[in-house]
Amino acid sequence: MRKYGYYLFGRNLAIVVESKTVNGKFVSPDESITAADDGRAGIKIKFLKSPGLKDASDSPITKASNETDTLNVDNQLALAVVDYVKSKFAESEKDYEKMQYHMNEFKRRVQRYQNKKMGGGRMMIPSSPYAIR
Amino acid sequence: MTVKEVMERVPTTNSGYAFAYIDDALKEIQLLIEDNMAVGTLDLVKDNRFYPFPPEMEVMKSISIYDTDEEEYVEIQRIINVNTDDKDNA
Repeated sequence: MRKYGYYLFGRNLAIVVESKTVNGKFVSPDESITAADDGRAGIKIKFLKSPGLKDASDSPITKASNETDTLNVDNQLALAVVDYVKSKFAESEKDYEKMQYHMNEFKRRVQRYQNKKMGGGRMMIPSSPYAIR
Repeated sequence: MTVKEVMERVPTTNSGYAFAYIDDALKEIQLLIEDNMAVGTLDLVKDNRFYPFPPEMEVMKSISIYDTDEEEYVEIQRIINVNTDDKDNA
């Protein structure tokens, strides 16, 4: 496979490929890889997104719009959301001490949720091109 | 937990602000931990260098290109300060 790379250009993703004629020079892609060829699109982006909510009919929605909507997260993260909302209301009331307390609680709950999923020992494995096997 | 339960715990009856803060909190969580990974795909188009990110993206984790010979996605590296010129972009 030819050497592809990417860089960020404002709000866009720029994909380039090493030139066939000049070593070390990157040019715009000179061939298409589309889903029509074999069902797989040429670019795959892995990313994190907001888990959003679910409406009364259990359909996923991106923004809260009704009091009956359900947060699409674990209960511990939902409690963290409560602290976040408390923090923001305290900020709007100019109660900065309370704001700070609840923001710290929000972060603590989120980190604790993350840590509880990772029990046992851990092993660092370097990414494959640099690994000693 | 429902939005109403969140509002009762705060407590508040101001649903407009509460909805906005809940949306913000759910996005903020993704900046702190990797909880909700998603995958988006785009067609790679000849002579087209620039592509939009998925609108719902909070944090980008990786970019892969489909290797048509091996029939698998290969993760590509971010490049910095390379000899490149975007005049060839269509």
